[in-house]
Amino acid sequence: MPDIFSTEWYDAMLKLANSQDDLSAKVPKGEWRVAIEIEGDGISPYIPKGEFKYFFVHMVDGKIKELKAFPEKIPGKGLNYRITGPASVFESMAAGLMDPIEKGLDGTLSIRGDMRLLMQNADLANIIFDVYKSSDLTDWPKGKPPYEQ
Amino acid sequence: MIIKKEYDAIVIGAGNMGLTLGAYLQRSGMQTAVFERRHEEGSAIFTSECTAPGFMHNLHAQYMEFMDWMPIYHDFNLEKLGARCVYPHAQSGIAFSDGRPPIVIYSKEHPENFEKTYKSIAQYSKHDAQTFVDLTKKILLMEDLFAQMIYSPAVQPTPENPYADIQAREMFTQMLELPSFVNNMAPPDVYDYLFETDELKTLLNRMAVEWCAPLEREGAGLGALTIFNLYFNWRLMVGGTHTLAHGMEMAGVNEGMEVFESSEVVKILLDGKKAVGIRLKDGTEVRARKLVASNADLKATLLRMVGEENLSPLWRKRAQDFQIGPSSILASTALALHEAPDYKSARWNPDINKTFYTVVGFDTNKDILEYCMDAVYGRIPRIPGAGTWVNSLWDPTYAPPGKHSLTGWFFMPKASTHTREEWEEVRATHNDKFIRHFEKWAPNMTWDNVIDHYFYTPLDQEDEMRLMEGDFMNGAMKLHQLGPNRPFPEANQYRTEIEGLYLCGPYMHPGGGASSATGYNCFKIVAEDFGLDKCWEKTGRGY
Amino acid sequence: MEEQRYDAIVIGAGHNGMALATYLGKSGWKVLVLERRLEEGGGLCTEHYTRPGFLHNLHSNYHTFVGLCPVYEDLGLVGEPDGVKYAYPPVQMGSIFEDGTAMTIHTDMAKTHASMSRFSKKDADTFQRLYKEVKGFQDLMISTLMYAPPIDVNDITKALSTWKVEEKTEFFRARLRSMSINDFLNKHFENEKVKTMLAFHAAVCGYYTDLVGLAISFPFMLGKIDNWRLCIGGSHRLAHTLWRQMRRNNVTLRMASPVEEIIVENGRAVGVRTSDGNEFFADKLVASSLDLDQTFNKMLPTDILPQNVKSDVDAYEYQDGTLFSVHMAMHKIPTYKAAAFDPDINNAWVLNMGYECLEDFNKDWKDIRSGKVPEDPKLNVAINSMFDPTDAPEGKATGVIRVIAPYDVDGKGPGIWASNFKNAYSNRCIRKMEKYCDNFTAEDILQAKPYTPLDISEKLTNMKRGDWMVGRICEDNLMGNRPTPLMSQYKTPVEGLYLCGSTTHPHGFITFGPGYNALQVIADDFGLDKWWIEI
Repeated sequence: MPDIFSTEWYDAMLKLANSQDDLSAKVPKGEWRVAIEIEGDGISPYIPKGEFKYFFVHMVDGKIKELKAFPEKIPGKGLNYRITGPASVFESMAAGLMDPIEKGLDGTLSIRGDMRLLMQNADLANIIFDVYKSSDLTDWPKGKPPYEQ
Repeated sequence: MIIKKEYDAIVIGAGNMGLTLGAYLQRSGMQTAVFERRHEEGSAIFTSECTAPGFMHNLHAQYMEFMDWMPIYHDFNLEKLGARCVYPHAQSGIAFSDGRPPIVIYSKEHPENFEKTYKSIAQYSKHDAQTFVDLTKKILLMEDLFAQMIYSPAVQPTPENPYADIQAREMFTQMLELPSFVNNMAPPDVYDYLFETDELKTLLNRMAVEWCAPLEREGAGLGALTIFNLYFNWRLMVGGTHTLAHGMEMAGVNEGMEVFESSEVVKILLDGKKAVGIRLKDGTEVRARKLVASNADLKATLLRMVGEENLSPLWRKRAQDFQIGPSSILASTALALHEAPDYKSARWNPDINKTFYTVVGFDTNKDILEYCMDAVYGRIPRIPGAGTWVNSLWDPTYAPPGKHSLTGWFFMPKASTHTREEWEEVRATHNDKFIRHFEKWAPNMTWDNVIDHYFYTPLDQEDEMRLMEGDFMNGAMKLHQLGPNRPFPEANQYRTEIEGLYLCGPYMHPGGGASSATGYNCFKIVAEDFGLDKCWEKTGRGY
Repeated sequence: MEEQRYDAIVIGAGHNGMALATYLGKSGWKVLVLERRLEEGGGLCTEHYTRPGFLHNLHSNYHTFVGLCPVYEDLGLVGEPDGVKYAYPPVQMGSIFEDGTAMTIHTDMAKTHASMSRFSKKDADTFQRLYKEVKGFQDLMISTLMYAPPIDVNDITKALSTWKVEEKTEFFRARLRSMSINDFLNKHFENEKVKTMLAFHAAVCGYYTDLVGLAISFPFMLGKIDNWRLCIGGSHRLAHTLWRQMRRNNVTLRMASPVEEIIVENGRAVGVRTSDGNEFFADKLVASSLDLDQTFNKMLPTDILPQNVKSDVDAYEYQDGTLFSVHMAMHKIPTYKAAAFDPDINNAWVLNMGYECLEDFNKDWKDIRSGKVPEDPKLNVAINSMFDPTDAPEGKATGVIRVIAPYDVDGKGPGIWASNFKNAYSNRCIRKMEKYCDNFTAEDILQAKPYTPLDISEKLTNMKRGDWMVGRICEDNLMGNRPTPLMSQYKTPVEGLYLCGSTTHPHGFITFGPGYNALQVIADDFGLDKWWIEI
């Protein structure tokens, strides 16, 4: 099992997502570009406080074409969504301990982009989150959420 | 509002003079900012919906007589920026309470109009009709000469030729084939000398005051004739005079000029004897790398913004001595009407019902003289007559469908001759006097015809625009304050004793009005001082 | 010579039309905006209505979307070089009650909480939780529900249930769709004065508290209860700044140019004819920011609309009531007796004087729907000079009293508003205000001038029946139903003719939403690069 945020982990994520037929079927045709921004919050052991990890998801016609880390903030032009939040929250979600919707509602996760499409494809969001929190996919070399605070 | 801390040029006041200067400076490559005390640009280029919704009233600037010459209008294509005009056929006229024939003066647009004007005056006197038309034609031949005088700095007396301005006046008198003494007359004397008809003189005298040839003033005689050149050129701005201000601002904005409204300048910042910026009322300071030009009134600019303590004794005295009023003091009336006035005199010539400037309320020349003397000597005129206009007759956007908006000017004493309470009393009563008087000239002009009304005092003009005393020239057009003596000899080239500080308000040569001239002339001087491109020399218009 | 051909023509230079034109101009299109009046800005209208030097905002006074609406940033309306400046009053609003108590809403939530706690600790806590909860998803909701073409409300409800939002929030419920604002307040709050304060906020926003279905918008509205701002130099400054930005993007604005007809060729809108006989042509589109009646009944050739659309247009409903205002040039800034209870009330911007309980609102709604002018006026008072010293001469103040009032009175049409009744009613409002003040009477007013429901519709013909929302605020005229389901996407049955005014989603008020959303649709239709969208 790959370590969280490692290249292998991204690859595994990509494979898992692309193996989900209902996901491929439900994603509207066309291209989707999503930027994920994870901020070190001093709670997570994986990203130093104040530093960011950026990664980029590119979906084409229901399949993830690319899922990769980025060295810097991804420019906003041409993106469909940008999701930003604290590392410990992303990790807790990956560990299946926190609910993305809840974190979106209380503002912990900032979601930018056209929410109308997400609303019109509400179950799609659920499927994506299910992929993300497949905890058997992830190894936690520096400890696993919930973290001691 | 965040203000960049530095500009090449700062203009104080977004009246038509300041906007003009700003637009030309910006086009010449100077990064320019204009700071305006009011919430809106244009100062007296001002249109108000002050009576009822949909009724537009030009409470100040109304007759656009400079459109053919005004450099900014053509150089910046203001028409494309929304300043469009119409050209009324019947330009000015007078009606009478006993239904005598009106006198109507027509525009110069069509040659046959002179014939119409002739006929109108000839009902009273063929001699006067001929004299008026002949004189008018001579004056109109000099139009370009006048334009050059207006749109150039005043001719400077030199040691070789200390009397250049007096000679110019003599020259004009000769060109009009009039005796030299006409120069020394007061306007009513000139009209008495030339004409025999009381009706015509009544109209001409009322117009003379309005166009800055004050009746009491000896030496204004030539001016009382040269202003004829304006009487045939009046345009109406479609939608409201204020569109001209909009156009001027956007002309500058097009070039990259920045404009800050609701930003009152309280101080001109000095570094020794050099103007280096301004301070706003809220404390913000803005630097000017090259110059500051003021469109604000003269006394405020020199005595307050620069500060008496920073002026030489001579300049301090000159600024203190500068006279404002007592002529050119206006109050405005505004009426929202069901019907336009229908004059008794219209049975002779229906055009009087659609005349651009209609004198109403005076049957004799004596009435006019008495009325003007009242105002000049500090009394509220006993005769509530006015010069009036109903713009909705030419441009339906001035009033709701089928209705009409009437606006008019009264001559009034200086604002300072009455207390605030007394002016409130005038506001509360004068329109009523006017309507009751008006009815004798046009029977349909009763209160039943009035949807709503508004009255605008000289003190209001001071409050609104800082047109001090309500003087629309912001400085008396007296002989000792004209030409090379405007506002005073040492300041007649738009420069001041403070390096980098220029003056461009209507207290400069050639005076106020919606001419943009003092701003344009100031620009020429600035261009000379800073080696800017003399763009006007390439236009071929001579100014 | 004037140019006759453009890429796009926008009818109406209100804030929506001007914003759309500026975006298109910035995208490289040649755009013409035609405006009937002399001034740009529509409801962004500031005049010396009483006396010189006293600036009165005759329509729009409260700008509550600054910082939330993308247009301000996209078009450079605030900040460099010469953008508008906003005042942000620390005490945003307040209620003064007959018993001498007062409640205040602050930009500082702790102070709001403290003020409410004096009436009910429980309600103060509830309000704080509600506010916090809404703040969490406010940006998301505003960008989805206001600054995007509307989607079907059922899609939203479905998403809420799919995401099990009900289990995850305390206040946000799909069933708010079947509740009124009154219901919501009664469900969550116990103290009548707290309820009144919050209901007053809704009423000033044009949301009637007794209409079933409006509770769905209420939480978002509360999320910006502390975002009320005042445009320095008057609301018109925003319009003027917008015009400058239009000019800088090469948009032509033609004033005093009433459009008489939208020219249709082969079923397609290709241009317009103005009342002075000029014709202007648009290669790509014509966008109308006007109301339905003017756009479809007055400007389009008859019989061009399908019958069902025509009947929808004719049946279009407007708000039950509008505003009666008294604009005041004042010698001083009033202070209030209730300052003995809460000194902050003297510094509050938007004041409720008269509403004591929810029933007071219900009574007003009932009166207004039956064409009655409320006998005992309930006031909404604002003294702008407290926050904008440029709006009155030194030492003086500019203020306004507003009352929600019907347009048609007693079944006899709006004629009464042109009679002396307006002055009598104005005096009644002033007398009512006097009761709350400790230093201020009618004697302290230099001039009070009424501005009536009839004046509104005569000055801004877009606001039919004086309706500054330009269409009723009710469940079946919001989101995908506004103005009709068919036209909710800013397109009309006439090809090339778009709608971009307040009659479309979201609604009137200075939101910029209609113009911004029409832009998104136009950008999709014409393949424009959406430079303004940076995710």
